[in-house]
Amino acid sequence: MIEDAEVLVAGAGIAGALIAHQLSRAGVPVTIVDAGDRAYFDPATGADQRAELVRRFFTAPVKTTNSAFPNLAAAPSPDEGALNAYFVERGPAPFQSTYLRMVGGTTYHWLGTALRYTPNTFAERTRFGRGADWPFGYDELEPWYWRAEQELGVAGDGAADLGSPRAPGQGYPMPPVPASYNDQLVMAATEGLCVDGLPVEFRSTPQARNTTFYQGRPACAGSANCIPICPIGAKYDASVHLLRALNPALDPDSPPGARPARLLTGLTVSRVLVGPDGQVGGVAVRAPGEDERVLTARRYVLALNAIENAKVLLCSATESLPRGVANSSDAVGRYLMDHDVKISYARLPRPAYLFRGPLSTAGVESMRDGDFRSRRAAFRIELQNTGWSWAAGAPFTDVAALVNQGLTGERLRQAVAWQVNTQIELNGLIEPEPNPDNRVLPSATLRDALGIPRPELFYSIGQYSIDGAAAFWTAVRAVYARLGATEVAEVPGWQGAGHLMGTHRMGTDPAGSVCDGYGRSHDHPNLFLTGSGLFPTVDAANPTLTIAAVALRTAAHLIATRAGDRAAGAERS
Amino acid sequence: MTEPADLDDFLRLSSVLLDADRLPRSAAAEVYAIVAAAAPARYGIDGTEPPMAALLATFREQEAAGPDGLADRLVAVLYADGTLGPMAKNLIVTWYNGGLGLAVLSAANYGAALVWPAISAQPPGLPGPYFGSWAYPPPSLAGPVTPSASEDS
Repeated sequence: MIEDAEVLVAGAGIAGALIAHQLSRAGVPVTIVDAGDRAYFDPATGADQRAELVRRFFTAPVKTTNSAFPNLAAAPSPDEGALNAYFVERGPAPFQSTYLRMVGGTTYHWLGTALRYTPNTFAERTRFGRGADWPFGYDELEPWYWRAEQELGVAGDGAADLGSPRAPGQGYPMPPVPASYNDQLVMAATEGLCVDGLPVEFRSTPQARNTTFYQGRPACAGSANCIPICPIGAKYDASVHLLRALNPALDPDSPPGARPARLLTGLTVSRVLVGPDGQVGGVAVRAPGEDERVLTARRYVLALNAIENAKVLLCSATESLPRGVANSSDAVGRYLMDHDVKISYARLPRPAYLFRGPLSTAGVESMRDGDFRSRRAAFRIELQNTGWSWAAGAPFTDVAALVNQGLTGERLRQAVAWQVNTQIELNGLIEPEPNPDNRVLPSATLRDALGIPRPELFYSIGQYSIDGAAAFWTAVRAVYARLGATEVAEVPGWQGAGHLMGTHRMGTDPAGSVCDGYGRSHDHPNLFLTGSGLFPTVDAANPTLTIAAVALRTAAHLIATRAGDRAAGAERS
Repeated sequence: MTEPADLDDFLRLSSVLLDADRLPRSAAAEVYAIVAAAAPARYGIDGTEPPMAALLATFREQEAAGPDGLADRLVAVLYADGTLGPMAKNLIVTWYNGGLGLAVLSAANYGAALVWPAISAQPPGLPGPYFGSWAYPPPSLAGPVTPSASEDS
């Protein structure tokens, strides 16, 4: 059988793109396969083609996180507009986070928040008796965080203590994003505020958003549209590394010997095939109107995302592997996590001049760690620059309400200006406790257009999160009091943060985890899993920088073990 | 898009209700279509007149009475009517929000939505204005903004 590549990377999102780029730099023959029908850039010239996506956003009647992007019949993406059109929600709580199945993946619509996890997150079982320990500690990942910050282009204040120590002399590659006027009001009002013995410190959020010209991309111009799409590419997305992997000539740091990666589009991974020797022997892919094909390589990286990775592994069950591929632990698909979100909002006594600049530029990281984590969930507070947008559909709903009150002309204009600009919204990202009953399963009856089972989701909010939400509520009330805010309110229920995590956890014990710290399957030594599906616990911080750091560490391992792997392969054949 | 014959009337009506000059004509044609599509099929019980024709006829009557107090007279007459009042409100909402419900303006007119300049912001997704602009209060709102609705009542 002719191999399609030395390494096959399934999924052209951030984790797959970073790994493919590193392999390409090292001269490793790598093929990337993605369900997306095309790339939105020209690999030959590097020209960006997102204008089409921006136009799609302009005319979308409902501006959901996926509203700028095509939803492919052959590879549907879950969308807030019709959550059950692809997901099969089994409850008891809805799983509300979405993703994008396209070349470049969900980084096209991410916010750009690039926080490190706190050291205690890597040892939650040991430290707090909750969740699980990671197979490595913060010290091991710290240099990779540093690398990830360079790769993504993170703007931040290296002197600020955000609870995740930085090596001496290693600041961020770019200066911090200027605090919005809104941030400045909140920072000044909350100076010295403590709640439950914890400081409530609003700080500039480290974010993968240019504040200088970086990687050939411009500085943020304040287009106020990070989600769903930055119109100028000031926010990092995975097209940066895909382009460099596909065409090393466009990578200014490309070493001699770099080898262009190959990108196969429009192919949806349906199964992972395992041979009698326990090695993965191929990945089956499908396209509309075509027979199933098998792509082969020496080593395989599954980088689809936490839900699709788990679904494909479970769909790959055979007579000899009845639980599915890489699943002797029965952990695949289990421990599905999101950062459960609570939305609070209130009215300020003076205008904060909203809907300008990046959607969020400050948050509270000082409440993400402490002994309380043995009792209740940690949280981070995200300050929105977009008023009650998420809470209540501002500014459009304000317009409708004021017009219905009979206002017209200049009085309407002034009322809209006041009503919208005096809004404040603080959201809590709450760290869940991993729960084996929160899980993904391939539906036994419902299939997508290619005949691949749709993901069936079982999800619940635990008491640990509920108790964390109560602490969040106490904290934001104190913030609102300092601001002199009125009309303090909470959106009922829970929201999703867009973070899919935990479904193929890494660990040292093959009985309780799916892969090791490099993402290598305990069961199949030539199969690597990547993305936040690996995370045994998830902090209260947005996961993307950790996805990137872990993926870069995996890439280095793939390169370092290349010779040994080839020798082992030769021995087998 | 083909311009309706009475688009000029619709533009003048829009200017009065919004207290706004220089409304873009191509956006006006789209707002016209959205507002007309959201109205009932006929004006009044057993009516034969399209509601948009009735709305614009009412506007022309008030306009013919002279410019003094036109906006107030117009709003009083329209808002007393169970069909024309909601149409006028839909007109304002569509101009402000760049759409009504699931009907939205074309990409070319995305930037015409009035809500963004009203709050001293730019339409999200149109590039700009410039790096760091968000750190300062916008010049157009540097003075106090008062909740005029509650003060006037």
